Amino acid sequence: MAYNPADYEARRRGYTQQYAATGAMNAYANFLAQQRGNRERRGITEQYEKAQPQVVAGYSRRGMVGPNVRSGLFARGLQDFAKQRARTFSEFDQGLQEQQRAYDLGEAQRLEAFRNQLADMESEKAQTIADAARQLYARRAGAV
Amino acid sequence: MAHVPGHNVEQSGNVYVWNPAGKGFNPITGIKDDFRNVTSQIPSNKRTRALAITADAAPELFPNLSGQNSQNQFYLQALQALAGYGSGSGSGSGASDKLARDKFEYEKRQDALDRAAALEASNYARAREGRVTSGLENLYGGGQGTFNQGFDKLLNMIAEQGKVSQQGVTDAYGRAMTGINEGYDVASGLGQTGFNALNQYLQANPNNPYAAMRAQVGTAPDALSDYLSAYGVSDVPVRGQIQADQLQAQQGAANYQNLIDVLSGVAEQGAGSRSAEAQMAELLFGTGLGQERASYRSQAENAQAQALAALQQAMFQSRFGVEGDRAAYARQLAESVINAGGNPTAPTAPTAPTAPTAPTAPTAPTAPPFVSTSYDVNRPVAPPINPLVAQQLANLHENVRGQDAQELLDALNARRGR
Repeated sequence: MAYNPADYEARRRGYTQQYAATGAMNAYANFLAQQRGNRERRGITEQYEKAQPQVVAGYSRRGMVGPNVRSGLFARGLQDFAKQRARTFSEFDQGLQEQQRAYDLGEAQRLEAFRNQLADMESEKAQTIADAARQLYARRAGAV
Repeated sequence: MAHVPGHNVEQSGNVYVWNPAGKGFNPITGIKDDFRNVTSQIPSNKRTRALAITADAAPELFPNLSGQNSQNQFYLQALQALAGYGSGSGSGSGASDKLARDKFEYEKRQDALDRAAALEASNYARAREGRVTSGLENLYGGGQGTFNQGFDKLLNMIAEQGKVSQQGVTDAYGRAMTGINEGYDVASGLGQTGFNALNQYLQANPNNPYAAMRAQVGTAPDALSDYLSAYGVSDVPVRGQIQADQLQAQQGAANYQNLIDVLSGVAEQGAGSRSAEAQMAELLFGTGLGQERASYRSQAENAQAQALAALQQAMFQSRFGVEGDRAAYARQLAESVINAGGNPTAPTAPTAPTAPTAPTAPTAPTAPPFVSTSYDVNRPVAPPINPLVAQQLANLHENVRGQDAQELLDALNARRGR
C-alpha cells in the first residue's frame, strides 16, 4: 500500500471535526443544564425565604413565641425548618454536581477516543511509510 | 633392321634411323637417355664423359643453366656425337643418302626438343613440388608453425572477450551492491522518519484525559445560624445534619475519584502499550530491512557467481573448440606434409609468442608434434647440392669445352683451399 499523506490529513480533519462538533454540542447542553440548575436553586431559595416569616408567625398565633416567651416547640420547629432547608439545598447541589461529573467523564472518554483515533492513524501512517520504504528498497535492489 | 649395340642409331637398308629406345635406360631415375649412372654402353669420349659428370653433379639445375636454346643445343650435340660414333662407316654421297641424313637429322632435332621440353616440365614440376613441400613444412613446422597464428589470435580474442565480460559482470555486481546499500540507507531513513514522527506525536499527545480530573465536593448549605440565634434557638442540630450530608457528598466524590483514577490508569496502560507497539514496529522494521539487505546481497553474490561460472564455461568451450580445430588442422597439415614427401618434424622459424590467456582459465595442453615412422618419410635424404658448386660446374661446362669439368673444378677448389 503506497503512502499518501493526503489520505491521513483527510482522516485527521474528519476525526477532529467530529470531535469538535460533538464536544460543542455536549458543552452547550451542559451549559443549559447549569443554567437550569441555577434557576431552580434561586427558586428554592426564594421559597424558603418566603416561608421563614410564615413559620414564626404560625407559632406566634398559637402563643408559643412572643415577648418573654420561648417554647420548646417553637425552637424545635424552627430547627426542623432549617434542617429541611439545608437538606434541600444539599441534595439539589449534589444532583447538579453529579450531572457535571457525568458530563466531565463523558468528555474525558470522548477525548480519549479521539486521541486514540489520531494515535492509531499515526501508527498506521508510520507502518505504511515503513512498508513503502521496504517496497522502494525491493525495487532499488532489483528484487521486484 | 639391324641394331647397333650400345647406340640408339639403327640402320635400315641405307637409312640410319634414330631410335631412343635403343639408348640406355636409367633404372634409378626412370628416365630414358639419362646420363647418370647408366648401365648401358655410353659412347666413350671426353665430351660425353664431361656431360655425364656434370649432369650427375647437378641434375636438377643443369637444364636451367643455359636456357632452352643452349639446352637443346647441348642435347643436339650429344646426339650428334652419339650418331657420329655409331655411323662412322657411312658411304652417303648419293641423293637418297642425303635425304635420309636430313630426315635423320630432323628427327634427331625433334626428338631432342621433345625430350628437352619433357625434362624442363619435369624439373619445373619438381621445383614446384619442392616449393609446395617447403611451404607446407613451414606452415606446419612440427606443430609450431605459422598456422598457429590464426588460432592464437582466436584465443586472444576469447581471452579479451572474457576479460571484458568478467569486468561487465563485476561492474553489474558493483552496481547491484551499490543499489542494495544505498537503497537500504534510503529505506531505513524513510522508515525511521515515519517512526520518529509517530514517537514525537505520542510524546506530545499523551492520551490520558483523566489525569487532571479531580472530584470536587460542593459547598455546604447555610445553617440559618443567625436566623435561629435571633429567636434564641440553637443551630447545633442543623449543623450536625449538614455535616452528615457533607460527609455523604465527600464519599460520593471519593468514589468518583476512584473511577477517574481507574480510567486514568487504563489510559496510561494504553498509551504505554501504544508506545511499546511503536518501538516494536520500529525494531521489526529495522530487523526486517537488514534481513532483506542480507538476502539481496546474497542474491547479488549468487548471480555474480553464476554469471562468472557461465562465462568461464563459455570461455572453456570456445577454447576447446579452437584447440580442437587447431589439432585437427595440425593433423591435416602433417598428413599433407607427409603426402608431399616433406618432413613434418622439420623445424621452422620461431612463431610469434603465444598470446596471453586469461589468468583464471587453464591453458589447453599442446598436442605433441606428429612424428611419422614411415620409411618414405624417414628415409635418408641425400645432401643437397651446393648451388655454388652447381653453378661452377655449369660455367665450366659452358666455358671450358673439351676438358674434364670435374678435374678443372677440383683444381680450382684446390687452389682456393676448399
